[in-house]
Amino acid sequence: MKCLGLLLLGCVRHQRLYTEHFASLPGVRIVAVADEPDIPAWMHEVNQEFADRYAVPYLRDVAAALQRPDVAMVSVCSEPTRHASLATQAAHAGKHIWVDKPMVTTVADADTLIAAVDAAAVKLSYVHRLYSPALQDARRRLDRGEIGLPQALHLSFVSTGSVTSGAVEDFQLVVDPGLSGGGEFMNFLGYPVDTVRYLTGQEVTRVYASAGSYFFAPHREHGVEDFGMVFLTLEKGIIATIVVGRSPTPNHPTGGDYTLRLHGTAGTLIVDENHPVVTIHAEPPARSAHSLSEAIIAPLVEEFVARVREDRQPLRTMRDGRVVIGVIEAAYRSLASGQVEPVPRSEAP
Amino acid sequence: MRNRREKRVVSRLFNLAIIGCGDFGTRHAEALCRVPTARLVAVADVNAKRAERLARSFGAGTTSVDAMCSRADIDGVILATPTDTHHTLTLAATNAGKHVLVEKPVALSLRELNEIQGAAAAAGTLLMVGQSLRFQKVPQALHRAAREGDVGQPVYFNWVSDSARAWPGGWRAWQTQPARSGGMALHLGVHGIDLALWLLDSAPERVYAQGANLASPELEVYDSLQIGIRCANGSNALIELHLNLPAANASYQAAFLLGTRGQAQWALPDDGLYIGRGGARLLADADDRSLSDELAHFVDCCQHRREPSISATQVRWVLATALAANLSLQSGEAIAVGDVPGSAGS
Repeated sequence: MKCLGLLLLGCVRHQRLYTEHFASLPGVRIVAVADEPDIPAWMHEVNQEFADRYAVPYLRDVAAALQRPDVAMVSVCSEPTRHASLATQAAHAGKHIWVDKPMVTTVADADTLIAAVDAAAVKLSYVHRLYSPALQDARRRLDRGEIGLPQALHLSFVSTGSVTSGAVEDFQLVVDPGLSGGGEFMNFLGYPVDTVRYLTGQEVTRVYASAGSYFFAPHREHGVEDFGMVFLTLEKGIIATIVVGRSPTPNHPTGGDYTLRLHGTAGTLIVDENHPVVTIHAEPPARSAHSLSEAIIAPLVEEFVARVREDRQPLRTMRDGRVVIGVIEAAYRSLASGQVEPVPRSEAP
Repeated sequence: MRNRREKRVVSRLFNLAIIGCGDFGTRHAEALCRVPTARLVAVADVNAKRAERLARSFGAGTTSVDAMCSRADIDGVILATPTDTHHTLTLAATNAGKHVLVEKPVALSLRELNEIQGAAAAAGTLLMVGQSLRFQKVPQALHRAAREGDVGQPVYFNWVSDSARAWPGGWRAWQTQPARSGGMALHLGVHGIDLALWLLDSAPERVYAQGANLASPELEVYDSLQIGIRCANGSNALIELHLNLPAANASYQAAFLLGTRGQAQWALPDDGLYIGRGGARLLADADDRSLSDELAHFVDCCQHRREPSISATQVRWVLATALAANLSLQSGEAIAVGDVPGSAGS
């Protein structure tokens, strides 16, 4: 098996989780960490920690790192507003691209990235939750016709707990639009939007949203939403609602509500992504005995590496990422207008 | 020796009449048996046989609406007729000086509501709307969680009701005829809308609704609705109604209240499983006294001149929200509640 070298571009947010899964795969080797020279000092420090952990060099020169012949793939996990630039540079250098969510923070960035990835004929996959065991089960049941055609859907994606719970190094990465591209819609809405597309096979045509900064001072200070609801109209007369965001609910046994209700022409499917679950009631308070994020990320990393080896497209490509960011942009337009906003159906260039 | 005056006040039962002897009129008659402060004295229905049957079962007499209005011994009227008759019948009873408990939804338009609320104010009678869900145990528990601060300040409420695909009565059911019932947003939507505005404790500001046809596309109304409510205090509600389950006894209901310090949630069935062909039965509250509690509250408010917990303002909010949902379904746009015809802002 040919060894695939992986270059880490940015090591904030969830890079640790991704890297652990990449490093556990046979034939994948972390070869270097790289980033732009002018990023904040604390990001350099985090990058250096990763380099030390894997005993690889940290290069403050992305272009030079991308020229290394031992680099076959990159894992882009910087602040979201820099995903597009780093991924596009990697594409120009002919490297396969794994990129954290959101893939990009604007449709315009998606177009630039798509052109580069197409020209280089490399593979790109972004982080999604479609390999969640519960979603896979739901998709199988839908495809078997167990509830007929799904026509009305509801998805909840609400993470619970404090903003300082440690999922990211610095919460500014989530709330400062200069770094994050938006609030929790930008951070999370792509997951349920992609799930609706995956389960129905249809695209979103109209979006209505209502949200606010209800819970957390960092969101309020940056004027971004921490929680809201989103209504989607899809092709084939399908309707969907999504509640998405972050809530301060303490001691939630599974760290959040990740549920779906799929109403079809012949029945209803109720899905809790955290089920089946073993909950532990002890000190510290009630918690889940399994990690949903690992159950989702492990198969996604495996899929990406396998697709690179097989020269096949992954389940989700940059074109899906472009559609998803188009829906997120429409949701933000709706928050601003208070009205229903169409999702433009333009094709990627 | 007992004070004669006190005895008269305490023992005087509140005499009620029921107009409409269908399913819900019958349930009111049953529920009244558990209200010690009131008794059923007369029933009326356009179908004389149906009225006689109910009267016989509960030891009451039959009467006509006109005769009922002119009877001095009748204190209050329970109106359990199709929605398109609420305006006329409520006005008749109110103008005759009767207190009225009218089934939900109160009316088909805000203009109708304005008239009957105005008539009640002029007559000095009570007008209460039968939002019996509020008296059920789960909504009561949610309300306590909201008011006693368990979940902090509520910011989001979700109510889901998913039930059997075929409407009882089939094509004959007035409930599925928009001109008679106002459609699903009014007929069924007001349950969740009332809970939402009660729990979020704020005026509705903007409504967006979308509908789908799940199991009965031939109906004139959607059998699947998603209604979004944005309140004046910034909170949101999502009310979902679906009529698609394949078994007649199948039902799924869920409630979720999110506040600034926690959340309260409930679902039946709550096993997180697939509700498919076999159907899952809603576990009925074995001791559901919600309708009796509602009637007792009505009688108490009439006798002691109190405003019902379902306030006149909330009644307006709920109807305006349901009407806004209908306008949203027609136009495909979000509707400012103040733009609903008949509202103060329109």
